[in-house]
Amino acid sequence: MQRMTLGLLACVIGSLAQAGDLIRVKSGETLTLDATRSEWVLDELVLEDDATLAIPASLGEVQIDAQRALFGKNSRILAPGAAGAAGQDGSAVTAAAEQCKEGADGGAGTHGNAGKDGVALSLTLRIAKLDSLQIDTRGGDGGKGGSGGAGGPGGDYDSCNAPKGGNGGQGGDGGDGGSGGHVRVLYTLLPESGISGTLGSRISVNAPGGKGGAEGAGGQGGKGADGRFVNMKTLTGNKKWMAGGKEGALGQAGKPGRDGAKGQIVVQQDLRGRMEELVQEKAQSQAVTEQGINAVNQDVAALKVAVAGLASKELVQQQGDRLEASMAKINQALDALQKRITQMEQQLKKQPTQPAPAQKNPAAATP
Amino acid sequence: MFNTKTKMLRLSALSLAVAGAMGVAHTANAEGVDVSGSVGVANMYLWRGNDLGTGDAAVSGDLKVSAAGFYGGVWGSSGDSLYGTEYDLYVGYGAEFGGVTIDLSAWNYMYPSSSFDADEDGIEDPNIADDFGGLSDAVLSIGFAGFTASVYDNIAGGSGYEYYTLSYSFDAFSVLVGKHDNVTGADEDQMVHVNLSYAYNDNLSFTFSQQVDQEIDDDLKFVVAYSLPIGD
Repeated sequence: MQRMTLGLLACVIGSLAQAGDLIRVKSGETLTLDATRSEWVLDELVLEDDATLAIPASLGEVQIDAQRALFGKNSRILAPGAAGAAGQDGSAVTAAAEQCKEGADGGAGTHGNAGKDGVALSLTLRIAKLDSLQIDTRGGDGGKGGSGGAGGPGGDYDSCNAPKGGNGGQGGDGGDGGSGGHVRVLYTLLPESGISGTLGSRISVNAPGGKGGAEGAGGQGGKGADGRFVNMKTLTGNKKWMAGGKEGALGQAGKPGRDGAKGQIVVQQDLRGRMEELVQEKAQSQAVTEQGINAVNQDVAALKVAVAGLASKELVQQQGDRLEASMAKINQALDALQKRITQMEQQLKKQPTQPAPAQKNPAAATP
Repeated sequence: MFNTKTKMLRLSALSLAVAGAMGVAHTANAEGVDVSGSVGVANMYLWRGNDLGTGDAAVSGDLKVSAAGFYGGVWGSSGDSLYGTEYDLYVGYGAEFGGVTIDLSAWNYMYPSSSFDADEDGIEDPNIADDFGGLSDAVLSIGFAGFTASVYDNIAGGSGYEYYTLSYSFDAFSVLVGKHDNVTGADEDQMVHVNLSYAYNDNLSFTFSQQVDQEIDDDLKFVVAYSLPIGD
């Protein structure tokens, strides 16, 4: 009931959410996104402790851009592919065949359906809080192939040989597993997150392919007609023992489905945002420097005026001290600016430029 | 006909010859056509409660073709100490209607090497035993739920002789009661016997036979037949 309510809530949110919207999932609850919308631009995305954001598998691809994202402990974003439906079992034949006729063959099982691919996720997050987040886009498992139906019993006999049983029906093939959904997380760590350096195991992404469906078993062969005495001249009187009919052949088993491919996983800092911040910081430093230079120029101009006006020796001395102090501040600002630029350049060089390979296991992605 | 055979039977002793082999092979070499063949050996030739041999084992074989309820074939045997080698030609039709089986067939008995005296007049009738259609039975069988009643009517070569059986089969067991009925009216021509058969498996079967009324002989006859599968 709670899930249904949340589902309805998700629909409401989904229908209203545009730029500047908010999605909040309370602790321990699950919210399912609107199944008709694949792009979400949010002011804030909040998943509290043990909260789950479920994404309908029917969407195929979803993009979420959150200006501010907060993730509590054990928060989850689940977007697995749907499992394929199992195949139908073949019909078994229970009625005996007509006299002197072989048993009817059992029906073939149908193939299992393929699992759906996991939802491809593209998340752009400005993270204000991150305790732990699990993302799961595993592919759906393939459906099991239907079993073949049992063959029917051989018919009665008197003037013919004992009929054999019908052959078992062929088993259906298992459905292929769905591929894991690709996951691309671009994040920016806001200062309030308190996180510096790498994310460590705070974000774990699991995107394995779905398992292939098991093959359907072949149907059992039908029972041959039982051996029995029939009216026939023999050396032992007028009753002849007729051997029973052979059992029908076991149906051929289907083929197992193939496992789905792993989804590609990329988790990295948003370099575009970081570059913009660096450019802004550099511009601010330049402005401070220009202000300092202007102040020096003003002091020089004032000194010139003082000298020209036969100002007192003391006044000249004062102007000279003020000039030296200003120059010292300018030099300090320039040094600080140079160090900061050097640090930024080093940080930029350390950032990964290629997507991370897909993870083999749900271990934490390390940006 | 029956009297002639009984003369031989009185000379016969219970035979416990070496068990023979009887193999059965059958194939469906055309759509709906079933072909089967068999060959076998038993320690005696038990015919309607009588031992036709003189302590000798008998070898038999048959080839049968059936399709859509119709069938026909040939059945041959040694072991008849009086008339020698025998082969029978037969045709018939069998069907089932609501669990009731009906089978009607005609059998022509051929004894190529015999000096057959069908009418017991002391004059041999070789043409009867040698000619096609000379000595023949019509056989009608009706079965239901394991019970089968059969009538064998001698329609050529000694008319007036009939043989009736009532049998019941359950799993590997079969009980058959047979009664001879000859127009001669002689006691031995009205003999009644009981056969009890048991199939140990598809290869080995045993039959006990005892005459119980108007006996020609009162020996308990024991027949063992062994089969070896041939073909499939």
